[in-house]
This record gives sequence, C-alpha cells and structure tokens, in this order.
Amino acid sequence: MKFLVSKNLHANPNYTLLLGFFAVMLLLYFAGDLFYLANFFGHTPLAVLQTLRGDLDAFVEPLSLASLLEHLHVSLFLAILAIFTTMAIVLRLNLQFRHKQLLILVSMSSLFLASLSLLGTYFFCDALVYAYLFFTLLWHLGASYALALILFELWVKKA
Amino acid sequence: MISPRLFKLLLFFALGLISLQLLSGIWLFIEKYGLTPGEVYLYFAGDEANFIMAKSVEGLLETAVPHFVAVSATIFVYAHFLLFTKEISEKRKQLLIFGLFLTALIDIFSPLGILYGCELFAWLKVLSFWGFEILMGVLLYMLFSLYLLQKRA
Repeated sequence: MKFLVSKNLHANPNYTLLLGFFAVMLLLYFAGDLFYLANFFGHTPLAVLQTLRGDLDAFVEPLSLASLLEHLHVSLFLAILAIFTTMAIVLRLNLQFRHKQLLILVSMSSLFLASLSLLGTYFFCDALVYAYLFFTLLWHLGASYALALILFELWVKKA
Repeated sequence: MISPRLFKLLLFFALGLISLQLLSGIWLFIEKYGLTPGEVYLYFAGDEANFIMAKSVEGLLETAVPHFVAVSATIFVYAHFLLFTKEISEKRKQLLIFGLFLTALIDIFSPLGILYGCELFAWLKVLSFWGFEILMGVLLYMLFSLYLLQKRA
C-alpha cells in the first residue's frame, strides 16, 4: 500500500510532524463523530429507538428511510476514509503482528457491524440497538487507540 | 516490511466496507429518485399536478459539490491498487479509470440539465449512475480476485 512516502515513520522530522498532526486531526474526528452521533441519534438505547421510530407523546417524528440512508451513506464514507488511513499507518508501527491484527479486525469489523445493526434496528428488531451502540463505541475506541499508538511512536518513543 | 497477511486483512475489510457504502448509495438513489428516468425527471423537475416542488440549483449543488471530493477520493484510493499489478493490461486499467470518472461526472452534472427541462438528462442520470456502480463493482471484484483470492499478488 503506497499511502505513505516511506515505510519508516521516522524517515524525516517534517514527515513525523505531518503524520502526527494528521493523527491528531483524525483523533478529533473520531471523538467529534461520537458526540455528533450521540446528538443525532441519542446516547441511550431508548433515545436511539425514539429517533428511529418517533414518539407521538414527545411529538418526535420517525426518521424517514431516506434520512437514515443519507446519514449512513455520508458517515460510512468518512469513517472508511479515516479508519483506512489510520490502519495504513498502523501497518508501519513497531508492534507485534497479533496486536496489529487485532486492531484492524476489531475496528473495521465493528464499523461494518455497527452500520448493519443500525439498519437491523430500523427494519427488524429493537434489541439490535444494543449491538449498534456497542459496535459504534467499539470502532471509535479501537480507531482512537490506534491513533494514540501512532502518536506515541511518532512523538514520544522516537526512532 | 509490511506483513502481506495484514495487508490482505486490511484490504478485505476496506472492500467490504466500501461495498456496503455503495449499496447504501444504490438504495438511497432508488428511495429518493426512483428506478425509471421518468421518476428521476419528476424528482428534479417537479410536478405541479402531484405537488412535487422542482429542486433548486442550491439544493443540487449541496449534493453535487461534496460528491466531487468523495467520488474522486474513492476512485483514487481503490483504483491505485491496480497500479501494482501486471495481470491486467494497461489499456484495461486506463479504460476502467476513465470510465469511472466519466460516469461519475455525468451522474453529478445531469440533474442540472433536468432542472432546465431536458428529459434526456434523466436518462443520462440513470445510465451513468448504474454505469458507475457496475464499474465500481468490477473494480472491487478485480481487487478482490487479484489480492485476496490469488496466493501471489
């Protein structure tokens, strides 16, 4: 994968600075995305269900399928781009094979399952909202942990 | 040295996730615009008899402008893997990349033509949209079979 000019993360001080700030911005994206999702859907299972199904008593309209798909389409694109570039840098870290493998496996499969469980909650079963919340939290935490490792290797550990 | 097994794992998930994203796009297209050029035309041009408002240029740009970045980034990120293989001829690679960008551009611009009353652009929108999705499918299948199915990539 040729995302990065060099396989050595410490090849050049400017490169280290550039990658480091890129990681900081992505970290802000992952943190901000969690807040955005908590704001859009709610942060409890009940709140998410209320957003999806609506609530007559609280005068909340159900979320239309088009709005849900629009949300999924946009947020999935941004998440793929962010997580893909993060993991491309993870491949170059000085970590054990299993550690890297687990990071990729957990973060990327949870993103996939979070999207599927959101659709599943909307169409099939309210109980899937727990899976949606769990996997959403997991992929954000996995990706943020990966970025923390990248920052540690770039700015703390040095060459 | 990057482990080929980790690279394959990353690519596997990247292909799976982008397939899901493309499917959400197809679903959204059908849900919002419909399947036929007639439905697509009515969505953008409006229909007074059925109380459907015509879309504004501002509304079209709101969708079109982010797509210039999103579509080009997606094609770039995924199609650049083709550059590392010699199993597909250069001509085929160029044809695929050209086809992807051409269909994407027609798909993004055609609603403007519909807005000015030309129904032909609804046909172009439908054809270019499906053309783009099919070509993306071909690209993802190529990457899947080149890097994940074969032992040596």
